[in-house]
Amino acid sequence: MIEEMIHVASEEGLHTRPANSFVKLAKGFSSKITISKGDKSATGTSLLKIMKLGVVQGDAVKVTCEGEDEAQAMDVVRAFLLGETPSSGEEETAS
Amino acid sequence: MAGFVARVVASGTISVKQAASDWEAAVQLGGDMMVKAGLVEPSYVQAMIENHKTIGPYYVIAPGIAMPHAKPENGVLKTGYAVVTLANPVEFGDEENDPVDILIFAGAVNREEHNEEVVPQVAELCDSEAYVQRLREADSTAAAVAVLRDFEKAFEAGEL
Repeated sequence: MIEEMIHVASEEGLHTRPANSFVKLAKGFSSKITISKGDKSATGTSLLKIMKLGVVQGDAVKVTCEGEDEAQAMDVVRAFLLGETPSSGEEETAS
Repeated sequence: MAGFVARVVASGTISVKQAASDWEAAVQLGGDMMVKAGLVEPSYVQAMIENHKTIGPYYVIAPGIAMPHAKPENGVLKTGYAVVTLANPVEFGDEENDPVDILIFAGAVNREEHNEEVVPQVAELCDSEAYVQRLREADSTAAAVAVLRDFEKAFEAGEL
């Protein structure tokens, strides 16, 4: 298992649509991905659990990845939270 | 948690067992309620519908539940919500969660309120299956309000 603290730089945080993108991304790995903010944590594949965290830009979140592809998963998750993964149709979208 | 339940009860934007022919009619229905309650401008309702057309049904967040919303700058006058349940579920085009019969509308005056209040609170309700089921079965506005108040109590007591 690997663990990393990541400061969310993505301007969008993890509200509905980015959270949805995050879930799709997490489902692409066999590793179990967990994201925690404060004392709350969410499985990377559960949209509602992630939405409940209320992650916004500037938050520090703890990400853990556990499984065969954990290193690749962490790379992708980190890039996403740092806002380095442009999600489709970034302009003119809902908040 | 004061936010969600208190606000939706105060604005009187709850309507149950409504008839809607498709997703657009369902979104329009709740949007109209929000306009009448002074929560949003008509442009916000249009924006919610346009979002679906351009981005897709990403706001269908759980089985049978959609959370229509748009950006604060699309015409939010006051942070608020609306709850609509449908007599007959309709397709939103989300394979995983169709058909939809509960719509929880949200509008926040700014991004912070949207991300930190609106999204977590609506997700909290949607993740509470027992309350969602009771809400789905509520056959009057009063019954729906009672369900939401029970949910709020349970939430505040840390029972969820």
